[in-house]
Amino acid sequence: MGLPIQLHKIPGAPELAMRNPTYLDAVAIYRGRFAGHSPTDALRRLASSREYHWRALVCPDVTRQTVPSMGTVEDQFTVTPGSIITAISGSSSQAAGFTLQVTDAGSGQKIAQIPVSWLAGFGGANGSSKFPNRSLPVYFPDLWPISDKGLVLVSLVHAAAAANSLAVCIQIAEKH
Amino acid sequence: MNNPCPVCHGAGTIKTPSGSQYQACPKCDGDGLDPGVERFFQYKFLTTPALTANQLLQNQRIVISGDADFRIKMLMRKATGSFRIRLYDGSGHYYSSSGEGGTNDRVPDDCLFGDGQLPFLLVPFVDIPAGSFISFDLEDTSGAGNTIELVFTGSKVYPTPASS
Repeated sequence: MGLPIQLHKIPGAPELAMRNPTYLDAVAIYRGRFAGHSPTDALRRLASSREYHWRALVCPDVTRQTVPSMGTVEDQFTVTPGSIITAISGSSSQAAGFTLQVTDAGSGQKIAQIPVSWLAGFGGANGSSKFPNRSLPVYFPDLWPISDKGLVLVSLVHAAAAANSLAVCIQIAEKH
Repeated sequence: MNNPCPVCHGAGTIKTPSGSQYQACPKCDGDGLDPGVERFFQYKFLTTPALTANQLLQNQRIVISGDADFRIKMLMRKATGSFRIRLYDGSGHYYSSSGEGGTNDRVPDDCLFGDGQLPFLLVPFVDIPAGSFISFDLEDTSGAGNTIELVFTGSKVYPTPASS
């Protein structure tokens, strides 16, 4: 469960229109694409926030992006506690893709667990077949603040019989 | 842009119509800073000449015009092959990073860039000050010549006119 974020500074203040609310909606393809949720509803609350800045976490780094058959890559990232993961995008040179798990080390919660092939899950064969393109980011329908430890663990397992060049890019809104 | 909001003058709150309570300023959304006036704009970068096979091209930049800050909202690219990229700005802030102990922060292009039909959305926006620049390192991974066009789509952000 993601925690709702509160950008307004006065408790109880009515929900006001966010600045520039329309640019996310302008891209129709991103609306209502994930399990019936509209990710942009959550993202809109963050879009013009001055309390966060955008950052991309790439796993693995270039020197390890070619993974042998059935190989595993694990990585960890330090972020400012309270930062929010907004989306994950991935690429794979092999159609079999890879499985992915993202964990908030402080709370032990699994933020994302994709036990089937990334490409099968998000490319149309299974899962959300509405995603038209495998390299589109998966936008999170809920916003998940990273706990006090500020440590994000990422684990990739390559599922093909041949070596694979793969990468995952985790987009976060990092708290200043 | 760090000018005070023209409506609440930096307080972040205004009185309700009855005058008995305060509410978050609807102009600045409560942060006290001028959100500015946005005008759609795009900055484009074209590799000329094309990258050669596996070439690493560092410290490329797009200079932002001095009349307004630029707010990046979407990333798009068109390329004849795959590449990796690392984005940073004029203050030396890097927008991508690899994990602990990583030695290279470049990101595969299909993880970070969309196209005109399906652009990659940046949340939150990235603000680049007027007169500063967007920088990036490009690395061809196609193993052949690669012509890359990058398009940074967003808005120029002008200060809110005093009269509004």
